[in-house]
Amino acid sequence: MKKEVTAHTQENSASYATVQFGFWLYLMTDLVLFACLFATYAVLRGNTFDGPSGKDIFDANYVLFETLFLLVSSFTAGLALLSAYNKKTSLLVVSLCATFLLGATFLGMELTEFNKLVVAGFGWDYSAFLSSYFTLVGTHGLHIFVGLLWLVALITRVLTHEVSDSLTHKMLLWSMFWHFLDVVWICIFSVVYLMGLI
Amino acid sequence: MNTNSTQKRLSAYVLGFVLSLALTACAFALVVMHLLEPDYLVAAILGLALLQIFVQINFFFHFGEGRDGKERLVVLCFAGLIVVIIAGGSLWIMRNLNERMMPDATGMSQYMVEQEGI
Repeated sequence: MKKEVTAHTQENSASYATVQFGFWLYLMTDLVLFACLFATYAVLRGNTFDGPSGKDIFDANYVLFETLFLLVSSFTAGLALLSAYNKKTSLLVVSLCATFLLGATFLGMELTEFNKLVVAGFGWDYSAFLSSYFTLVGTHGLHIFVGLLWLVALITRVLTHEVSDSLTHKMLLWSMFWHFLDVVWICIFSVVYLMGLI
Repeated sequence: MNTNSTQKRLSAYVLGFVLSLALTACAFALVVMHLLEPDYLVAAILGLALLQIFVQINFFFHFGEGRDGKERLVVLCFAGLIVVIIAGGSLWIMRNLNERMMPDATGMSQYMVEQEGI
């Protein structure tokens, strides 16, 4: 019986490793998707159709706070993974909830920014620059939204089940996704916002 | 997971987090205070962003630890190559095209004089 259990665990951890590698492959294809959107934005950023350019619509301090919220949420995501490994359930719940709040604040700020632009008459249909801007930043925001939904599912799972190997495996996949989105945001912060403000 | 490796991971997270904050603050300050000429500023921002990507991948993704660390690195490098080809290639081609297709006003009138004798 004991032998069987060991074999089962080994089989599990092997399949976990395969899934994790597969998830890494998915992240890399997502990277290529973002690269296409970045290339589009870089080509079209000057085509403002006499509308606003990046310098007119970007608010440096606002974007800095967005970036800080996402950076801190990446850190709390790391803490959550660590407490899952160590089976510290209360710390895990706290850090997951903190990550959710930070991520939701980030998304809220981004949507507020979008709303302000659309209300001012500078929506995605105004110029090629704005189309590429909304597509690039919006795609990242959509990923953040999916990450938040996934996070809610994880929190529900933590609250209703024991912390198991299968849960830490799920947590690892989600934290890879979340850190990846942080890396993409660093590129958006630098290429779209900071270079737009020069 | 034992205390030792927990400690190691925690310090990696803290270090990565602090470095990311510092790099973000640097890039932000450079732009807001206009500390450099625009061309150098672009180079500095891109350099700081690359550095920060490296920091985050190194400290947040725990590369060396998995048994397929090497394969992951290979996939990452390949994706990086594709990214460079797509982003760099698009910029190169479109800039070239712009240069050839859209002369400025003086260039246009010069061309018309040459072609039509106006």
